[in-house]
Amino acid sequence: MEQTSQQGARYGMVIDLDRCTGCGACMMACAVENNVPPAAMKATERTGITWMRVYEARNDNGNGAGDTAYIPMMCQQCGHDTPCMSVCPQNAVDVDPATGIVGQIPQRCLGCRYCMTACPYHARYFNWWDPEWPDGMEAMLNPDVAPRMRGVVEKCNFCHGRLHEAKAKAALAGKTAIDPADYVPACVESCPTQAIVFGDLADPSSNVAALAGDGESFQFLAKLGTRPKVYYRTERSWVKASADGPARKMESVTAAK
Amino acid sequence: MDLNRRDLLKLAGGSALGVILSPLPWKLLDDSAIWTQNWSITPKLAHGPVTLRYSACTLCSAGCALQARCVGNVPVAVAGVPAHPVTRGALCPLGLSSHHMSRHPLRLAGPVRIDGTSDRGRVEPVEMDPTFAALGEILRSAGKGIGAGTIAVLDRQPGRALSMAYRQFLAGFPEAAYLVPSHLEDETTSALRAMATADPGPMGVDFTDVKTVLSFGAPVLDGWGTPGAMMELFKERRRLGLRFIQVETRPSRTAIASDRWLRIVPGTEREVAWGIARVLIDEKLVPPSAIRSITDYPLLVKKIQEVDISRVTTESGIPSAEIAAVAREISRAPAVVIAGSDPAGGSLDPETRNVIALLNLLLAPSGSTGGIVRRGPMPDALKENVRPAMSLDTVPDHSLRLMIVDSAESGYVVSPEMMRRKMRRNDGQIVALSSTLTPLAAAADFIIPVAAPFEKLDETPHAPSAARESFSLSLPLHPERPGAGDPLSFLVRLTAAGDRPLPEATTMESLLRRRADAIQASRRGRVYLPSSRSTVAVADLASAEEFWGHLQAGGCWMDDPVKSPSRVTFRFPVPQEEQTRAAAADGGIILMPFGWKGATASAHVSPIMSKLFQESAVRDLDGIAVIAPATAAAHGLEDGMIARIATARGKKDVRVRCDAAARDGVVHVCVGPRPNGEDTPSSPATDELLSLCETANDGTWRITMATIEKG
Repeated sequence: MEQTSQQGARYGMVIDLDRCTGCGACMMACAVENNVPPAAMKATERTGITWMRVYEARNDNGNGAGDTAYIPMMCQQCGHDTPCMSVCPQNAVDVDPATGIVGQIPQRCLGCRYCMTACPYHARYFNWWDPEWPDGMEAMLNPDVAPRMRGVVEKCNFCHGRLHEAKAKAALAGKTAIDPADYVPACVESCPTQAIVFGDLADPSSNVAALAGDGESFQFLAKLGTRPKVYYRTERSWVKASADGPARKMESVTAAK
Repeated sequence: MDLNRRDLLKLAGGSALGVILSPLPWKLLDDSAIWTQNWSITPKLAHGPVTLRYSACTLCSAGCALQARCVGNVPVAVAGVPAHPVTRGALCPLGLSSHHMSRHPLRLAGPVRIDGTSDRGRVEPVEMDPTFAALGEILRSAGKGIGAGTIAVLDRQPGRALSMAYRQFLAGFPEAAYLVPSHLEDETTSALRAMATADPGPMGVDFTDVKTVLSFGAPVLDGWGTPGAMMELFKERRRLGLRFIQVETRPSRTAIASDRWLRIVPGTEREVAWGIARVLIDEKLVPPSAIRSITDYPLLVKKIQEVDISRVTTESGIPSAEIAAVAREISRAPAVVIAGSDPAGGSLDPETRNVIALLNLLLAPSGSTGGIVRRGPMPDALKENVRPAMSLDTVPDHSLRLMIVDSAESGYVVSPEMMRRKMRRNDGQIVALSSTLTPLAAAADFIIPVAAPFEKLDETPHAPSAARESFSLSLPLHPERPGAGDPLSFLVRLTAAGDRPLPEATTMESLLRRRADAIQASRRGRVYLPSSRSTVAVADLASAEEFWGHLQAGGCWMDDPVKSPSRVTFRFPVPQEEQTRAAAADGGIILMPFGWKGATASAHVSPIMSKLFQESAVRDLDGIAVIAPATAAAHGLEDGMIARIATARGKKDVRVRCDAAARDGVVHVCVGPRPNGEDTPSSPATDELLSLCETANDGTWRITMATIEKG
């Protein structure tokens, strides 16, 4: 199902992999903004919740020399035949025609995890445990984002709460269109090298549209036809070559448990 | 009336139907729904007006400015301050979750005594008054004179106004020591300052127009210095024509991101530095201005010409062609050479630091931009009635009666073994000031709880290597917690208990106000105002009140650069002895601890940092052993396996992570946080890995001989 609209926006990102140092600031900013709880003691790489996750990819020639790239990966906001939406039995996945953002509705989710199986980017996470914050820390949660309980799936939604805040600000000023400077996801705001550019891909005057359309940017697993709204850029050909391979080739360096 | 079975069935059926048609089951469902929505686990969110407040992170020496989004006076998120001239709008993962530290699960509620006789020290609550009475008695004895014992303060963020108060306090004792760790990111500038024939004053590293950054082990792209400024250089490196060269054994973040990585044999930084110096001399790449700044230059040249490049290659594993290429590169255009420390691996030895610092002198005289520059001192820097700073490792062993460990962290591990070694055997006492149960605090005898970040007014630290001084306030975002004062209030109470003269300023506000007034009176520098993203010259401010007002609104003062080039000359202390290096025994392995700045323990980081450690392996957990696949195979190990590392001092189980970029024969073991919940307030984590490494007399513990086998 196409998600473009004559009047709708298509929010997307372009991420410069040559600027990413794998510092993890985006991951932390995302977790704080979206009330993702700290890991339970039993949580592992497979059972943790990281809406934004940085993977390390290595181009190793076997002698130790080689190149390393850090790849921030979040929900790619697929724009065509959104896999997770097409399999959800609960209508808990909704693609907003006005923004193109793939939203997750925890209240409808029954935790079947079919969407996690369908997602080719492993960008969906299941709440295996009820969220727990150290005593008193829950007072510092972001009131614009509802915490989730165990048994539901969650994922990146391009900081939907910030979109609502931008809309409210525009409405108070008597405008219908939001100011792009007012809607900046937490990961974009926090990146120390400004590796992530965000904006409306449908706005030809936007920086993100120019970068996404200049022929230098690429998408991961583009051959699946999901038309993700997250693009990547790099001067390193081996990274581009890995973008079409199976996800397991893009290994995260594991502390296997 | 006779009741038969049919009647009973009719009664039961009718009753069931009747109940369904009554409100009872629906009331039960409603109550259940309300009950499930009000479980204790359901978090209660903040309410109230949304405001933006400015402050600064104090978790390490970088002191990054931040803006906090507060809901009803509760900070719910923090971010960097855009366009900030010092910190460039960046905030690291620790800073992004720094507002959580006031509610850390390892937060101390009251003073405790540590019984360190077991592997994990036992924590016992104690009363504050008797503790201060005992400390006061020690001070009274120490004040009486020689032999009563030396009083010391260990300060990991020297240069603050509080640091000056400590030094003034210590000046009142006949035997006292103001101690700083040897690795505070000023290894290069400290070495140069020590070599100067006349004290040039504070020095820093200026990256203006630099084309090459040659780093020996410093995490320049992973938290060193002012991270925001370094990340900006990294982002713009192509446009600036800037290259990074890293000399390091481990495949660190900086090594991986650098344009050239010299993967050296462990402990051969000095050899490589000598090799580069040899090429600079042989190929006459040292400019005349640099030659003039070095006294005894011919003697130095003679020493350098004794360096055997082929031996350097053999020992370091770096081909001579590569050493020559590096030398030529750093001589072509402005370059800066930095000696650094691993946050958990400790510093390089003093002689190695000297040789690395020397490379800066061979490239250009100090004082020019794009290299080592003089930095104007803080306007209130006192030279009289203060204890001079000395490095912890230079204190004679078993000489200290009392050590007070200030709460501020540098982001770099201090060896608990080194700290304890300095204490008198029978009656030496260590008192740590800390808000959480950190491993270093757990190595003390007593811990006095202090305020967590953002609970009280504090001074923002600034990078020791900065080219210019700066000053701003870390403004409170949380309400004060009863019983957790700031370190100055501890000092005030301690001096009262010990019948010592009180510090001149008795509150942090008055202490910081004094510094601010001195800065305003100097009329130096400019103030950045984050709310308007503008700067104003201090000379244009009407009064000290106006300056203080700007600081309280999140302003940051930056000093002017020192314009006049240094006329100081330098004398290099030519070493008399050859360095000896131990080699791993057959079947043995070289153990090198490592860590990430500011995140070497659970108590240092918010529990939500599990995203990077436990839930994704972006960073290594405590006890992860990075090892080359061939080395792992040679010891019967595989990726993910538990292994046992043993040294002459003990054993520790680690988890293997194979990395093809690691050097054969070396195991890098992470000193870091443990999985959430593993460290508890009653059972504090200790630096188990560091206890396997012997801390040498020069304060280093980078390399230890070890064995490794299946666990």
